[in-house]
Amino acid sequence: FTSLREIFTLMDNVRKFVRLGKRLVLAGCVYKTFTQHCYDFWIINENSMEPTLYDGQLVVSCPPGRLDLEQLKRGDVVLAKNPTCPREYVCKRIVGLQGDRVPGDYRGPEMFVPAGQVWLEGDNRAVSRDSNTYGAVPLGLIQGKLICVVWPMDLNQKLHCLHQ
Amino acid sequence: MDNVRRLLINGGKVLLAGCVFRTFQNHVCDFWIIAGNSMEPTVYDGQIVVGWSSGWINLNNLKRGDVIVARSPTQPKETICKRIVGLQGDRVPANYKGPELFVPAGQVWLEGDHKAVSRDSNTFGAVPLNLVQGKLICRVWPFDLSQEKINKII
Repeated sequence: FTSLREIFTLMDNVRKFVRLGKRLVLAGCVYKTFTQHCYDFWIINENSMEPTLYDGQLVVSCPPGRLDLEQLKRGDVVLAKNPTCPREYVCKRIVGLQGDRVPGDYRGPEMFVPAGQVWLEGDNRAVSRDSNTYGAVPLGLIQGKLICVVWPMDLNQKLHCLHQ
Repeated sequence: MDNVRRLLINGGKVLLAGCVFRTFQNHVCDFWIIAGNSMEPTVYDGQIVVGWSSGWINLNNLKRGDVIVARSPTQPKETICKRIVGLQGDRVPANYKGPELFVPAGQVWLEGDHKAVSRDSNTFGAVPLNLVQGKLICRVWPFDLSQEKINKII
């Protein structure tokens, strides 16, 4: 025999649970929209961009919601979806824009970077799988342009400079 | 002061609703207005379709015959709507003038149903799966309960 008071307490707890759930969903939506339109955060998990970026660093990026893809320049470090593997991301430097000549030792057939695409390369050429592996990458795959490394914090860092 | 407060609260509610709507659009279900005639007679210019967003579908489970919406590989601000006719490993159509013989890993071969006017993989080659923005479910405008299924099995 359950007392009426116990039933009311149970209903009250269910209501509190549902209210918490709604607030979490709302917070999730706000976070998702913020990371799509304001700033996004990524943890680097590859070493193809050493010595610029190391595995485990936390970076902040300008997300595609406010990024003008046509203003990207040679030397910009960007995050992009992997052209050969769904649901994976790569972090590389733009070294060629549309119309640029493709590197001499590229084994693929294209001679120039096609319209709407870019040539990506990792700073650590020895280990990087990048456009030299899979060719030019469509701009539509770009998911952000790196702004800076926030952890570890280094006030003298220089990301977007092209070093030969 | 009270009116300012009420305005801010209502403004906040509108922003919140916008965030929820946007997240829903990007991660569950979205609608698109068809522009162009490259998918006739399946869908026509000006029709409205709904589909699952790329966050909701399993990109690895897309099949030949599915109609998808994707970012254009040659014009990043444009979205294209085409049918998947080839998956990774499939042989590329014989009359394709580009160099690839097979659809590379993680990519698909797209073709519009209206072959004469469609600019698709026959023009720009295989398209990475990560450019896919959604998979169509059905047409909602003009509304027609007896419409043919958009996604076919080929």
